[in-house]
Amino acid sequence: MNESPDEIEALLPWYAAGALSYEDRVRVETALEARPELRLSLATLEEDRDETVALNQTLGAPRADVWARIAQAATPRPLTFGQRFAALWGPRPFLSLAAATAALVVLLQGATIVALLRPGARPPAYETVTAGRSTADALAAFAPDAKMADVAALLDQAGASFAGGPKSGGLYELRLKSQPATRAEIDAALKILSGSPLVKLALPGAGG
Amino acid sequence: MGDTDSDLLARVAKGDNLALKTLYGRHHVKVFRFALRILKSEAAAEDVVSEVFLDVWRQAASFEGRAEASTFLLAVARNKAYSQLRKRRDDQLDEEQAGEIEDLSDTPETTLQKKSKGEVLRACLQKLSAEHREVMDLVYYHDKSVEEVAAIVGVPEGTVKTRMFHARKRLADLARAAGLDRGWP
Repeated sequence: MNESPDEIEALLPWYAAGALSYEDRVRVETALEARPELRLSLATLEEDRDETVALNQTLGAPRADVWARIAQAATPRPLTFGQRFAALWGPRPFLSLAAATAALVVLLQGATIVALLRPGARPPAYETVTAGRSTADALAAFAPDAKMADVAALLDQAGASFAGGPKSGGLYELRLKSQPATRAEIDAALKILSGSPLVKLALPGAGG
Repeated sequence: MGDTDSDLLARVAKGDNLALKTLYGRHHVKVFRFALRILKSEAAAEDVVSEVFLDVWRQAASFEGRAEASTFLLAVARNKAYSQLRKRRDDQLDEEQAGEIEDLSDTPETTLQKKSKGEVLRACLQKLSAEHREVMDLVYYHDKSVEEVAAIVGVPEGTVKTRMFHARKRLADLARAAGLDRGWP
């Protein structure tokens, strides 16, 4: 016989577990008051539940080396370029960078004033507007999910290394390893950088 | 107050293996027992446990904001356990199924004389089909709601309720055959 339970009967296991909504609980309790066979069903069910719990509790637990296996395989994932940068500079990297830059400017100003006030100091010579600008050979912005190891390998391939940054727009200053870099060397490096999916943007720098 | 499972999952998604260890500490026993009831092999159940938690490690972000952790851990464990079962050779499966066939060598009276009521019921629980055993374990031992059982087993909620009713009925029949008539159904 393949009879179907009535709706209240079908809810009894979850009533016993306290897992019913308020409305369903009220429906079951009202039916329990009116129908003795439901009370018998509930009593039977509670015995079944107690023995099911008892049976499961005899089943033990995994051995300690199961966690050791998991821990061995769950090695820390390599950080993305952005995460490595954040770890280096703290949770708010741009604020930290701005603070460090401001401190450097104050120090340089102090040193300049001391040098100018020194007896016999000569007034500063005329400088072009480009003096003091970045001498980076190239500027590059990287994809947010780029991994540090991959970026380092790419820079190595392009014969470049980090010289500073990030500047506005997430641009990092790059310097070529061969100094002074020729225009052709910079163009070749830019070609490699631009061709990589790790790089969002690559431009010649002020020193290039 | 300790971290919730959701907090732990968020930390696991960021690569925090201490959070994974805490999550493992909370759930590994129940995942193991659930897998063991399906596979009947401690070594195989341990493999399922390690696979489940490695999946959590690798894909924690995809589990975030989904069901309660214990529910999806059981769902993943179930998939892995059944996948292991499918890989086993047919003759092994036949052997296991043969082990589930009711032992009728004792009369109901002698069975009852030898065992307490609880022991009879536990023996009968072992004789239920995998489908019935599973739904009873999930409801009675793992405290899962109708919706959660439906999510773990992958059947509609109505099927969960009907299956649970038939599992109870089958258990009552097995108990009666073993000399334990409780008057229901």
